[in-house]
Amino acid sequence: MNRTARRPDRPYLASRESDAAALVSTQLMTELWILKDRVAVLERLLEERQVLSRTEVSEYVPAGSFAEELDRERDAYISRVAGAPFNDETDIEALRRESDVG
Amino acid sequence: MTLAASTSAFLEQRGRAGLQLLGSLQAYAGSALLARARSDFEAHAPTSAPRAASWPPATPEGWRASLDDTRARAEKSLAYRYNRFFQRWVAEEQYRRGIPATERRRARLDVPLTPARHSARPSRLILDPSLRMPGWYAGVEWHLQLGGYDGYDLASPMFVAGIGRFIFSRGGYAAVPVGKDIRAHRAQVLQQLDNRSPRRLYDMGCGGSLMLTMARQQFPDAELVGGDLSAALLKSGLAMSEALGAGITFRQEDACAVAEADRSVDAVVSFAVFHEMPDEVARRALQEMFRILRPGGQMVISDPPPLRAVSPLDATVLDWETENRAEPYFTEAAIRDLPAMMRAAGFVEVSERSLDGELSYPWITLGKKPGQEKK
Repeated sequence: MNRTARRPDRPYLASRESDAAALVSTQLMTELWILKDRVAVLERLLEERQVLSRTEVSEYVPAGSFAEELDRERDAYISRVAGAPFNDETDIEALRRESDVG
Repeated sequence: MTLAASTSAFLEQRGRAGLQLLGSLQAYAGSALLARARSDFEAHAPTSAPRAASWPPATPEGWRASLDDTRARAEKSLAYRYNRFFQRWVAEEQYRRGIPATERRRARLDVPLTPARHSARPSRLILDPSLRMPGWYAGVEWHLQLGGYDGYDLASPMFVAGIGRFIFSRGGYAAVPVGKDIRAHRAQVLQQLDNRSPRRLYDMGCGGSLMLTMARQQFPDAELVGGDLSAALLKSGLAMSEALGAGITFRQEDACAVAEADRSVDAVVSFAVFHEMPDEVARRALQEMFRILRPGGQMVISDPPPLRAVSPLDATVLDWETENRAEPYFTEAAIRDLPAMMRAAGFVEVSERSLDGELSYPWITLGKKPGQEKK
């Protein structure tokens, strides 16, 4: 099901171009926060359970299926952030599929 | 029938953190940025007389001219523009993030609520498969919700576990200031009813069950009935009512033609519904509510404040909803004379007031059906 409610033609900021740039940075702000939140959760859990140190995390090199998973996640991330200005048509089925990506 | 099993049905980290960010951004836009925009608005006061010399204007045309003037003045402020940009973005993004987050928890969220055991009060849902959605309602994606109220099957759990919990609870949107809780407003509105022991109470446009389950707390012995056009909202209302043992009857119906006999209810309430209706529909709905009220019965309406009751900048912010948050009749409703409409429908002792004098929200309009029921 596609969104039918359209954005008004008038820009929110000075121009459609500045709206687009602000959309990119706002998406980035959101994604960055999610990451910061996750890292904070991870560090807390790892410390509490005495599983590993921060140095071990820094030295780890992704490979194999994990490296491929990161590739998929990164592609979806780029699409979401860089594509933000063009993301005004939303589709329930597409959003359902996004649930496969972290 | 599905709904979030309970508030313990949390979203996973990505969904939770993303929606929390949106709630924080909306609160920031609705507080710090709006305060800055307010200060800029005063600084940009016109040096020459605006097109509409007096506030509030007297006619719809006067309102449009005045609101165009105040919007141009507001948009001179970068803070106002960013405020509006973020408001729109959050309104869109909450569904873009909420749906994938809900899907990742579908197995947990797509489960029936457990009905209350040993409840002496069964709840009921009466759907009308033959009901034709009226033209003013059909196809509108209210508040930018994809597909409207009936578009997404897990919309109710999405609100309970995510959007309502992390975004709406913060306030800072439309007429709701930051830090204000519209759940508490419902209880406040119900407290305005003079009759503290109604036998039968009708909630016009009940949506889910929030208003009626709160009514159950205030009126333990009343028959509670709610009507709405959305089958999805009514189904979620039924599930919650059953879980709480609240004993509510939900009916799918048009507020202009409800399945209640003449003079059959003691009180009618309506929360955040009239601003979604065009004038002609509001007029007919009031006539219908007047019909079903018993003599001496009371109607209490709660909605965003009329534009005449707020400052020019706040009126500009409210007018913005119409074009930007899929609220097609918001401005039409905000400039209508609802008390006059109620009087025209036959109501007496009509009055209106803010329940929070400073902020004008929530705003209530009350009226009674003349006469007294024979004992």
